[in-house]
Amino acid sequence: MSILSNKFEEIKEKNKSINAYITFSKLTDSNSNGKLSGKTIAIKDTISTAGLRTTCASKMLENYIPPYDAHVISLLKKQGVIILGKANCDEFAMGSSTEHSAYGATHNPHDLERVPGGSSGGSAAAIAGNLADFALGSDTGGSIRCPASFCGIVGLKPTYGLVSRYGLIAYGNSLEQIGPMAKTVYDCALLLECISDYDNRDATCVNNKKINYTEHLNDDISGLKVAVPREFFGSGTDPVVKKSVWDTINKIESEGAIVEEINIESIKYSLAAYYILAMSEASSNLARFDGLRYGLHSGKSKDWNELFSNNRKSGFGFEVKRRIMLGTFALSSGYFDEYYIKAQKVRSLITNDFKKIFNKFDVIAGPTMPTLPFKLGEKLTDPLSMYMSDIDTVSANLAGIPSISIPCGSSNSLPIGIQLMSSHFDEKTILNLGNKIEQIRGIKNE
Amino acid sequence: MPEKKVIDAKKYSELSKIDLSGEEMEILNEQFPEILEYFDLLSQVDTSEDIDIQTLSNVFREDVPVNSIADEILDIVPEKKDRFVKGPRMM
Repeated sequence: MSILSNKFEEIKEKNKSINAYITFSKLTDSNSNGKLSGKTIAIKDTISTAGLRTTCASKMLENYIPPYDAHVISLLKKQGVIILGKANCDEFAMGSSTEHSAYGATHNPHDLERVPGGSSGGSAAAIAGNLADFALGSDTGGSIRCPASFCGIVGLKPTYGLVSRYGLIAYGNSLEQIGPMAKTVYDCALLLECISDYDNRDATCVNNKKINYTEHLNDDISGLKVAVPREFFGSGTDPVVKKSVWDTINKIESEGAIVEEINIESIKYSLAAYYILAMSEASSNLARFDGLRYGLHSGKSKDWNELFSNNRKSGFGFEVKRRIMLGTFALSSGYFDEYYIKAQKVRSLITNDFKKIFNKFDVIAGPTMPTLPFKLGEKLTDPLSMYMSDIDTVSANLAGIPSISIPCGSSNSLPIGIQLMSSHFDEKTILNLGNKIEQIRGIKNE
Repeated sequence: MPEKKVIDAKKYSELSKIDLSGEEMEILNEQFPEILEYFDLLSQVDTSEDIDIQTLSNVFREDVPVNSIADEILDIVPEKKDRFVKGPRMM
């Protein structure tokens, strides 16, 4: 414990420049016989932790201490992991840079003037900056993979339904999953093993046979069919990202994978469909924050309407307000069919296109992010340009398929990530291919 | 060219129950048309065919009592009377 206490003080000191954590926990003894005993973890602050403040990076929940643990937290405690604290993120997971946090932006450990990506930016920066061994993030439209790519770590968004969302404070509930983040594919597979467990308190959790992902990491990739959609290399893709991702694809081809370029035309509609659906769900999910039962309570008002509106005015940041209002618009009378229903139909078409591709291929590969990590403040006043950075990640959330980001290179010390997607509940295939990519790049697992 | 859509920030701030400052209102009124124009990209997609958008089914459990954390939840309510949450008048 004393070694850990010293390490913990060092972490707190280092956190001053990175701001990966919003709240630190008090260290307690943990189970010494678990799969993660002695290992440390940062938990994204959208995931409920009993007795440990959970803010969602919002002023609305500044003093909120959850009375219960998320299912994933109960599972992790059994495995003996040491929870160091709650990781910074964009407020209610709405953002791609971790700048929309009421507790200040997180800085990218590779370059403190740049964003770590988002919304799980604190989780990724904690790992990249050696402030934790593992982290949990949540991914609604790329919020695990984007910061994993920008911080040069591994992050996986599981199949919708593999990991219980019980205790995850909802943003876009039909799109999001809690997922593992770590330095290596092996660690990511190990953490996924620990958190993928059926839970009847999340009605969308699927009761499948448990898979030990770490046991599938040295499977042969010869004959593996990899599709590369041209749409993932659109005009906004930085040529250095394109080159690094293609270099990696060429290497896996020389290891025996069969690579083919394809078109998925519906992908170009995925970002618009995603934002309409995510904002609509947000407007409904965040209606619970009225300040009456928990959360920010701004004092006396003459009636319910005024109290509710005042609490939300002072509790929510500007991006959250923007998304709730756009979602309210998309669900409002006169626009519901044109936006919400239309986006649902487009979602179905995109999902069907992905299913067809997985009848022929095992993996879809492309860049995680179209660009290198951008400078803090660069996109903050231009919401559409910030939304555009999710262009390659959102389709996996619409289709509900697993997707992983793995470091594949760098440019001027800024990390680049390759994204691999596979069919529903086939996490082991992309973990295995990811492990192969690490071997090719000379990265050793513990 | 279709006409640019206007979202009245004031109307949707009322519907969303979020009081906005004058400055916030101004910024949103300026940003919304550009965001909506991007969303209108979806009008290019042919969705005239019958597309099933409902793929979920209900999950049921036996109607047996399970442990509840109602007391712990009530503990964090800012204003209450007995086991009720105390709120302001509706009208």
